[in-house]
Amino acid sequence: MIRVIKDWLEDRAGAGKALRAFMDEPVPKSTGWRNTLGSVAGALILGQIVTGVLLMLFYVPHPDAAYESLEYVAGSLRAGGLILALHYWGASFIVVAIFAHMARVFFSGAYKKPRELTWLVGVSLFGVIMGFAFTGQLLPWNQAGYWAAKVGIEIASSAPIVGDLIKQLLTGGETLGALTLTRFYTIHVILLPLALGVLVPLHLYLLRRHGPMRPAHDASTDTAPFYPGQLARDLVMISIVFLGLIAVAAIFIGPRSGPIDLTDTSYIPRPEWFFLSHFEILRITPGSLKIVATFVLPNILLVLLLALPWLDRANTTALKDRRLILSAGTVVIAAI
Amino acid sequence: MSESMSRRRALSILIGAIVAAWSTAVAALSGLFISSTLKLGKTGKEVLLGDLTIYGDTFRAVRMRVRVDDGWYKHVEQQTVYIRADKENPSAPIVLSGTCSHLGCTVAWDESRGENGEFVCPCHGGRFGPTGKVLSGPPPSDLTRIPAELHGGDVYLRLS
Repeated sequence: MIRVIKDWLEDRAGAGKALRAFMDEPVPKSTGWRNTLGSVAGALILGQIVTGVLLMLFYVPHPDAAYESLEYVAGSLRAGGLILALHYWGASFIVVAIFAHMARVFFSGAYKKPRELTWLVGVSLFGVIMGFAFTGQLLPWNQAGYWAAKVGIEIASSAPIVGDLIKQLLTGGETLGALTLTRFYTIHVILLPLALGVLVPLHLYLLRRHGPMRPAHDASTDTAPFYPGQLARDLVMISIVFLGLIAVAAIFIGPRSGPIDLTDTSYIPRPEWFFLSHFEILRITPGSLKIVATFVLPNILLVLLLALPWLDRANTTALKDRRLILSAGTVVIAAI
Repeated sequence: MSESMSRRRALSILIGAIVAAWSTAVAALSGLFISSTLKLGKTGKEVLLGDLTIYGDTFRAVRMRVRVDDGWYKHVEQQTVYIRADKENPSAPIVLSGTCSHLGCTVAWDESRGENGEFVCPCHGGRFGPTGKVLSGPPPSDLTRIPAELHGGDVYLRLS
């Protein structure tokens, strides 16, 4: 029976052939554990989709109900607290996985010709993930999320010419409120997933088109099929990371902060850890130079990141021949 | 079997095991989570409809206000039931659900239809007799009769 269904599908969709072509894709034999980070990030994104959809079954994007509906999820539903914690900590795990993946690509020079476009799409994906993190913070409608969104919107509004327009589009009115919440929700569950739906397949297509980069020390032309060796490595690494995520979520379960209370002057707003470096820059920059911290510096970093394949002009990926760019990159990573 | 073949086989088994384990974990967690609310609102409720003497021998629509625990949303919902005194059994009135057994629309009592009046569903034209029995149309079963009890002259409904 299974054979009949398989043959039927094969005749109509060619699914088996496509799957075999995907699995048998030759990758350099030197491809190993360090090449699993992208798959880990992808799997974590899938995990966020699963927990996100489960939360959407109960979450209500309304100022009177958002906090209460998530309290209900955490307090009254079986495994509700764990699912909420998995979604919350999953965001941090994705940021770590993408940082590690980008650092690996950076140090190995895997952004060089012909993989410049793969790098650009990857940096865009990083931007989308940070967009998820930013919009997701507001949704629980708690103190932490409210102040993070408030500061974030003010930062976006500092952009020359279009700043005010961005602020109005994000806020939906004069103050952060019901319209802001539904806008952030729409961006979080519709617009950003659509962007992911375009960028992730494009990133994978480009990865498959050029294959994983052979490290500088590997002068051979030896290849091995993706299945089963590299797929097994990917899945083992993904499993280890997910076990870690479950452990962190189970230990640090529970609400991050109470419901929004604008009269509470004892609350000290702090952003998520991945926005802390920017938070520190904002803290130490004098008010007269605010735009440097809110707009100029982040955009210089973004442009440098995007232009990396053209800034690193060395014809080799060997570490010893790329000292300047690697030193500069290490300083920036350390500073962040 | 060559060494590379047995390694390939071992890795294939490992891949299958990991995929099966995580799929099971996701399905179990999702099932556990979603099933938390499957039984919500199914606990029995007792509703006071007032003194029996106010109900005559023809059906009267009563809009009950029922507290509903709709997940995090606790609110009062209006539900319609039809009630009339039962000449054969004066100690308990006849109470019928106003919900059509076809697709859940609310039926209306029309005293002028038939010999003793009929319930008519406005959605797909289902018709029910004064006992709630299906007369015509697509409803697959009769209107539900709701158990009513008398306590000290007051009518109580037991909703489930």
